Amino acid sequence: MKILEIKNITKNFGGIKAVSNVSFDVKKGEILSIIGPNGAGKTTIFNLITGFYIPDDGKIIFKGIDITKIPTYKRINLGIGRTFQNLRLFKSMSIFENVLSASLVKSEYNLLSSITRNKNFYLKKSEAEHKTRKLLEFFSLDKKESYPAISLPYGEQRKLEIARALALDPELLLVDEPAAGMNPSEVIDLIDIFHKIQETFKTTIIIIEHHMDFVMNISKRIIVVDFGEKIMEGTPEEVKNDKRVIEAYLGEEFISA
Amino acid sequence: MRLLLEIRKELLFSLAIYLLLKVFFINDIFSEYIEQVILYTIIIVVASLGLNIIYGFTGQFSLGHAGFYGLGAYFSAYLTKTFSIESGLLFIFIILLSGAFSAFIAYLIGIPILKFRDDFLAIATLGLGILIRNILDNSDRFIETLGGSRGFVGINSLSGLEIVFFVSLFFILISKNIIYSKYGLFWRTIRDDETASSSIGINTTNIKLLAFVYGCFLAGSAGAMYAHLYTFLHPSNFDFLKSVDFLVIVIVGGMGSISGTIIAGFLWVFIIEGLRILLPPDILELRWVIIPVILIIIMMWKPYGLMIKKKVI
Ligand SMILES: Nc1ncnc2c1ncn2[C@@H]1O[C@H](COP(=O)(O)OP(=O)(O)OP(=O)(O)O)[C@@H](O)[C@H]1O
Ligand SMILES: [Mg+2]
Repeated sequence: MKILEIKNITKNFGGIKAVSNVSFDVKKGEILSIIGPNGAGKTTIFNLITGFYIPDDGKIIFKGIDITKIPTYKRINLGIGRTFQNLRLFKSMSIFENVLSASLVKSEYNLLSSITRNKNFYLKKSEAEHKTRKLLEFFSLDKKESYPAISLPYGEQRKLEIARALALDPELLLVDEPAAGMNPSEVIDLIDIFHKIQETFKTTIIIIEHHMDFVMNISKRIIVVDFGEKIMEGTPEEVKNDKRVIEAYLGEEFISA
Repeated sequence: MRLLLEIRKELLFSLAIYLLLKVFFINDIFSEYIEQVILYTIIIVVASLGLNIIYGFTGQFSLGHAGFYGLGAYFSAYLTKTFSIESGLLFIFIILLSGAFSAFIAYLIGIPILKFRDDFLAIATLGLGILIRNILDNSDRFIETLGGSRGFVGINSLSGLEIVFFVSLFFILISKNIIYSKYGLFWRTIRDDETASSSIGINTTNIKLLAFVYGCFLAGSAGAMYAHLYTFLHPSNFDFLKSVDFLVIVIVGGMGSISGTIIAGFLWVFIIEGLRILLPPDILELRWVIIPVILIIIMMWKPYGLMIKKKVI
């Protein structure tokens, strides 16, 4: 079953073809990786899926709904979560509040019950807090929950951002270079975490990653983009041995991986 | 019930302050001038809290706050004068209505502007503030009562201790409840990172609009109380410099701190009025040298405001 269908999407920035005529499907429950050299258009694809950019051409279908042009918050509330390549945590807020804010987005109480503090308010509040705590435990961040988010080491900030996205109960999670800036042991941890996420939350995941070991280890299907175009799609084995891929990465450390 | 339990400390504390003020006011321990200054300060705190919600909590830089304060003041004075309102209960209703009027105007200009991320709000509200000031200056041309540049005279004196104190307390407690709900949390996430906020499904335009409209509601309500405290309005009370006053209070008290706004509001009015008493009339204008120096010292001592311990960045 397809959860996401990308149909011939194109996005230009001035003269730059950041994404051109890219199509692919994502199956429910899978972990799909997108790889490609710097500037290939990977992040732009995420921005198109989440509505930070609107494609010049093409269609994006999520759970059968055409989301090509709807605003970001509506897409997210349909069940998409994401992280950012350059970390976007709420910097002045605590670790707990970072995740709580996402837990509260779908919380059903209104302005009036915030003011009158009725039963429903407290019920929804404690539900969101409970969920937040569970997620922080899952990522072993619970001991530090009241610390400011940016006091965390880099690797844990990345985990916190994933926790925040998971608080939305997304059916589809988009993760942009989660292993960037992590040391090898953290990367091994991260592979575990993604397997656990998939088991626990039954989330479909798309990962953008440069780290080859990581990608080969985690996904059965890989999409390769270069200069805005999808140049191939296949299993890790197929990708590793594909001539076009090797050419695209020539000069990068990919081949050694 | 749980609500009362939760705010019992604030309520008891406020009640004690009220009783203290009451005793002072009844026994004429303060001069009428000081009494007025105290009530004025409470009103200023309410308006500043409005700006703190817009700017301090949500990060939307508004330069026209005094305009919304003025709208509420003139709107309320017009109503009480036209309908000869003298009852306190009706006046409370007028205060809320005036707040709603300012909020409505804020809503109309907020809808097109808050869609954008840049500093359009600063420019737009600056323009709006100037526009309101000009309209007020010429208001007698379309409604005689408003008085134009001569000022609006003969407003009923309805802002007594009880009304100002308890209406303001009510506003502060409501604000606190909103701030400590998901709405307040979303205000802060937007201030920190608007892109990240929309990535977690927050309708950032709406939440910014809520902050702006509610903040202007507080400004308009405060304006209504102000009008019926001094019983005279002049357009110059609502110009750009007044907006800067509110900004100073928010920044000195601390962005996103309720208690900071309260303390800074009192400090601000008391310094200005205190110097008026302390300095001989011929060098009174020296105030505008002394005040900036005090501000600079405060900001060097507490760069993030009186009530914010330290910024984490
Ligand atoms: N908002 C923008 N305005 C102009 N150009 C952009 C914008 N966003 C992306 N681009 C350009 O589009 C191209 C693709 O960028 P993108 O960030 O999607 O690449 P990427 O594959 O994620 O690269 P990296 O591995 O370095 O993260 C680049 O040439 C980039 O400069
Ligand atoms: Mg990228």
